[in-house]
Amino acid sequence: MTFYDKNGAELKIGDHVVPDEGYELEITEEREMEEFGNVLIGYQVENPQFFSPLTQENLSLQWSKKD
Amino acid sequence: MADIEKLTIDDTTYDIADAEARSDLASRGKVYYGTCNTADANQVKEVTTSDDFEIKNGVILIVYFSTGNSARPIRLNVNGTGSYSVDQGGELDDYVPNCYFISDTVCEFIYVSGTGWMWVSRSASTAALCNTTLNTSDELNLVGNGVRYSGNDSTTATLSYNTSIKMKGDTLTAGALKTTSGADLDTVNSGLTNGTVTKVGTETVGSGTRHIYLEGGSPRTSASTVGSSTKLVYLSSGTITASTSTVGSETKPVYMNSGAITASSSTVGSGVIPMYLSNGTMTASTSTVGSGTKPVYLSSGTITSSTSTVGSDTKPVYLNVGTLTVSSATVGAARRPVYLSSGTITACTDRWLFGSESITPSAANTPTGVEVTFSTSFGSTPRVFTNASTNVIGTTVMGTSASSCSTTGFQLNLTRTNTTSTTVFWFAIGNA
Repeated sequence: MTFYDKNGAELKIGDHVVPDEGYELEITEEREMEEFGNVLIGYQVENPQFFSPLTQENLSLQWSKKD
Repeated sequence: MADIEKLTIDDTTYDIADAEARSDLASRGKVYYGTCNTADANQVKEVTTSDDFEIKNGVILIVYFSTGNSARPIRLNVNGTGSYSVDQGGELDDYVPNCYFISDTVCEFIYVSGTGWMWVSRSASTAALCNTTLNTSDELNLVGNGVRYSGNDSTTATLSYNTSIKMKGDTLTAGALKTTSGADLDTVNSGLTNGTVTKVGTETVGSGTRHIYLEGGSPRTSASTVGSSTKLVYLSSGTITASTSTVGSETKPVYMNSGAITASSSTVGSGVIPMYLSNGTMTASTSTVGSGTKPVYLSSGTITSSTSTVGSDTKPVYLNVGTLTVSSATVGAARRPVYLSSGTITACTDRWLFGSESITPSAANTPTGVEVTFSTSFGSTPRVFTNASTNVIGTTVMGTSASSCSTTGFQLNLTRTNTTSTTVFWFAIGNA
């Protein structure tokens, strides 16, 4: 499955994304979750114990690929 | 009718006018019944029968002996007609089982002129009675159906011996077998239904000296190795009372009414158990059992009280079945720190853990999780409950959850409409 940020940039494992407001995430894997379907798992760079499942919709709405 | 003067019987012709011949004919083969009350140790047995008895060739005499016999050889004196020897058949005359018998025995004799009384038969229910004293080096070979000590079955017998003796079977009267080695004592069954066995001296059996050894339901007292460890006292079954204390109202340092006790530092199961009672009754204290304090009291069932690991966890007190009363509190109207009247109690078979995590959401409306590892693993996957420490639930805090639960941990999740760090409580409960 292909994931895009809100600017249309394709996202891959190892990319970093930042939200409009929040914390930078490093994408570490793609996972299929029962509740969300396929998601990208991103760990907070500043607090790596926290992680979030990022759906296609969520990424396309508030996340930007960090160059 | 013609006058008959002669009569031929068995090729012998008798003159029937001869009074002596007629008497001989009349007495030959005649059967008399007599009784004898002579003491069993007396050789000459005084027999009383009918007055017409005459000692004649071929006379048959059946005698009821009320007192038995322990003398050999014996003689019969019937109605005071004289003492005549009793022949049982050559060398068997002196054979104890052939000539000894107990009271209430009936014997049949026939008189043979020139020989004396021939012992024909004896009632079949009699058992041999032997009052022989054995010396240290004597061997006693017992033949027949049994051996009787001290006169009758109901008498409590005392058997003292200096030689190795082995009684095969479950009862004293079930036959006898003499053993000559310690190996025999280990392999041949023995039994003693009542009475006391006193063995003078010690016998080396197997690898150790055993002062008393009775195989099967009997004490084995020695320092021999039983199983994998040394057991100074080992009782496989039956009753042991090993102390000088009074059993009743006094102190009982060691007392076991029934069952099996293995009191040592041997390993039982997977752990070292200083004292282990598999079943029966154990009263292990000097406290009063009844209305008083009971530091340890188990009326029945199995108790394993140690710091050994039972299952996957350490249980200082573990009771599989039965009743456990562990306290000095009153059982009744007062408090009961621990009380189980019946059923099974297993302390700490359920486990519950709790904790909290402060979660900082990655972004608004974005689920954010943190891995939680249990301080102690569960035996199976527990149930985990979560709750956020917030007063904006449903408006700002959208919810909390636990996912990916396992026996070792779970994932704690929070979603809220902003990135404010939020404390989330969790509670896990499951099998230990």
